[in-house]
Amino acid sequence: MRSARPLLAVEGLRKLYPIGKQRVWRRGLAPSFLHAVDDVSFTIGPGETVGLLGESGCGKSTIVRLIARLLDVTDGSILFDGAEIGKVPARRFGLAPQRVHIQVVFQDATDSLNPRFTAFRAIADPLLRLQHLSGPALRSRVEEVARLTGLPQELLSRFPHQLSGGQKARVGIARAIAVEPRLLILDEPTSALDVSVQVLILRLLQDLKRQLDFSYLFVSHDLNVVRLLCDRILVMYLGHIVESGPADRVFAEPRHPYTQALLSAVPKPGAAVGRPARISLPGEPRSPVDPSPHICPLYGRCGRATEKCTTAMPALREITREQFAACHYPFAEPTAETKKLAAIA
Amino acid sequence: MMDTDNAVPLLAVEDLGIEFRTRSGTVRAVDGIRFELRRGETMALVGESGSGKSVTAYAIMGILDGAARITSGTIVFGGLELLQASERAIAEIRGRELAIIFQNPRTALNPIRPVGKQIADILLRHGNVTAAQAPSRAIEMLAKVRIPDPERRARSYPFELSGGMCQRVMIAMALACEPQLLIADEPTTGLDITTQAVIMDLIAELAASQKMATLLITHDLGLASEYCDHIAVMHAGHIVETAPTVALFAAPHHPYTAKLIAATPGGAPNLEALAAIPGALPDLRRVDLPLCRYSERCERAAPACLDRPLPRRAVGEGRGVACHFPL
Amino acid sequence: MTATLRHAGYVVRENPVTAFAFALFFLFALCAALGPVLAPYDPFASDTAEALTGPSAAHWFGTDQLGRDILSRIVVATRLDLGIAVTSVALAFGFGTLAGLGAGYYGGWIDGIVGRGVDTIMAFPLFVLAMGIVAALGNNVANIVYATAIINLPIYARLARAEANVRRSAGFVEAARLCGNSEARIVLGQLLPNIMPLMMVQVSLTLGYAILNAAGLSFIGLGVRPPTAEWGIMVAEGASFIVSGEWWVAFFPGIVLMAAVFCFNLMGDGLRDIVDPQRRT
Repeated sequence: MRSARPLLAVEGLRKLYPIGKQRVWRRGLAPSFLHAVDDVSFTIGPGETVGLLGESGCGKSTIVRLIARLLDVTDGSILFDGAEIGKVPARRFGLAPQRVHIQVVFQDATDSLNPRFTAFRAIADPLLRLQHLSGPALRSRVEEVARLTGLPQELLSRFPHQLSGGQKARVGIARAIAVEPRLLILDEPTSALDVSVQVLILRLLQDLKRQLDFSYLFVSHDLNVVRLLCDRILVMYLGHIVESGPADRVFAEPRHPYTQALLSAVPKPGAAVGRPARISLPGEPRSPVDPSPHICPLYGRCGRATEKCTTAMPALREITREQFAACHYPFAEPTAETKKLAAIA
Repeated sequence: MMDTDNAVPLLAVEDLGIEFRTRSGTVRAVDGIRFELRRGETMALVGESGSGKSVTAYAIMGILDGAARITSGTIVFGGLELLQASERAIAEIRGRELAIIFQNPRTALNPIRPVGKQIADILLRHGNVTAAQAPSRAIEMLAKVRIPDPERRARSYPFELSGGMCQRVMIAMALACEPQLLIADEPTTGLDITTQAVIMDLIAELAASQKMATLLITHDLGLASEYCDHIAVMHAGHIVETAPTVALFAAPHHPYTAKLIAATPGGAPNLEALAAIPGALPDLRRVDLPLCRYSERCERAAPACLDRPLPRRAVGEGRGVACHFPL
Repeated sequence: MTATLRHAGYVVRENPVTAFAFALFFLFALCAALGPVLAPYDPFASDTAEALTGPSAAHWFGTDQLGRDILSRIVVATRLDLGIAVTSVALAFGFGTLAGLGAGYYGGWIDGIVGRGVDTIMAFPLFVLAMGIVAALGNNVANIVYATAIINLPIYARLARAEANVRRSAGFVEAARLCGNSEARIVLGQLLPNIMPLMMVQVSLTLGYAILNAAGLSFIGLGVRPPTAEWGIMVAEGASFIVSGEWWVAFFPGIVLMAAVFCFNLMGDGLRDIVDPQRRT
């Protein structure tokens, strides 16, 4: 019986970056802040795979770094298995007991591997530092993890530039799972890979989850991949969560206008005939610098906006069972357009 | 939709072979490919990395690397044999009749020159405009690609623009002289999904209004299927299948095409349905490459696949497949 | 380790220029180690009867104004010149790289201090600065070493700082933090190995420059004093004899000096190829 307590509970998370130089003689004026992450709350249960969807500038990379404690939190709390880890400064987190349990697989495997380390040394790094393994115990664990991720043993002595894209991705995954974390954050792990390799890596991630019972936070802009792997989805826009719900439901019946636009923009192979009209978002995203706390982030690009959208920030609320959206005018009923989207999903 | 002036293809590539000399051997990047493109048509060259699709595009534009050698074939564009033409003749049409937009737009633009000036440069070189008219024509082009506030944006530098806007600038530069053929080399890789949709829609719309042919180079089957009438699938330097888009998805004839379609996440209902493509690309430096370069990964392979020359078999209206045992 | 040695063997075999440079360096190292044993004559023994005789079967490089065999003096001087060069470069490399790494990785006040320090040193014409340091601290070999080390430190600091700056936001640095590496361990254990190839090339260039520097200081009378055998002093002493036709007194030490600098420069590429794993196929 799984414990009811979520593995990860994020509440009111905010990350603000001060911008512009703080000139001495301007001390009276308030400095400007870039709101990378603005009041984000969500949970991840044990064994759950949660997808974080969004485009560039939405804050998903920042969330990854905040939860992995590579960045300091401006405001809000991060509870990992009940313990408040958001208050621990990032540079001290290496010594915290939770360091082992939160690991990340990065998007660019080439960039995330030290070019001077062999694959063996790269995978051994967390085992050396966090579990203090050495000698034969270290060797056998590295070989075991390599086997688990489908990495042939003879590749362990190679350097990154001697490995293919798929092999490097496996090394990155092996390194992340070597210390048996409970939460694995995957930051676009397959976006740099060819389609044929992507399938293998996705299958590997699925198998690992079944065998080792991780929770995954799967961050991606590729909706098709997220749909295949995730139980629940969070959709982010400009630092806010605008929609959340079970994956199949969000894809079949998106509630938030942004999610709809996102889904309609995805090209579907072989579906050239009978496609629904593209729901486009005209214009550019609003500025993330000092955004007004009363205006919906999608205002100005959204076809359903009214004056209410400029006077009260919509909160994330339940629209239908388990589906949440931050919108004053969410799609409560499936429209003709969303029905068509669902038919080809 | 037979147009009388479409009887002669705009672009005809015949038996093209390209190889690269490297320190570790000669890479036979492209081997004996042929395809045609007519005026106003849209075609996609689809393949994974290493399939030779970008190399083909560069060969058409005449911007191949110094280490590249064209070992065989002809590329005929609008009656001109590009591989035999003089450098001057090519320079005349490159940018005017034949244009290309690249991946990663921000790095393809000159970082220290305002974008308006970059468009004006092309107009001055190839279009019939005077130096006085060029700036305003550049602003017109920016408006045509729907960049808001074009007068102000013309003075911006590439680093001040988002990725999507940089790509629009590139499109403006490419289309400034109303070329007959636009080659788009992975134009939306690295762009957001919504931006990708908008950019591709823009290209499609402008192409239709100018009756311009488009050659889209991409690894994304979904993108190809949505924007192109014809698809040519490439594998390891060969074109394994060409077909009109709908027919390709309805009934692929080449085993690799079928596997590629099955491996694309967009079409699959769940993860189990996704098919992996067994094996890996053969090393193109090998001298003992089998005549069918897919045979080592193919479940249907037979001894004939190794040494019988590949048939360029036509199997129906506008279709071709290079396989001894098509599906 | 054996893999590195095997790779070193491959590098040397592949590139004849590198092989030549390493062979030459080996010869110099041999002279430095076994100088007095290899020298045919006692480098300090003067024989005025034999003074200023040209190259001959008995004295391959001729004799100087005090009748001392020039070849012997050159061989014995190798230890001093090489010693000065290697020690000063080791000091410049060690301190400069650490300072630069710290400045590039941490930024902030460390960068400020290192930056100002480096700027101060580079504000002077470097040879003049070396002269000033030796003149101020005292006219001996140790001070030549310190002076040469100080004037070569900025190059390493700047190089290390630039490289650290670029790499500190690399993915593998973040990954290293996730693996529980402390910041110091990241700088020394992860970043430093990555910049070593570039530093190796710089080390070889600096070795050449350090030898020239030491020779230059001796040439103007600072540092090494007669009757010590040192290439620079030998060139200085022989300079006045060129006019009167005894060219060999300055020529041979000069040639050997040039050969040493040449050898170090050529070695630079070879060293980088050995140290950089990306050169391995």
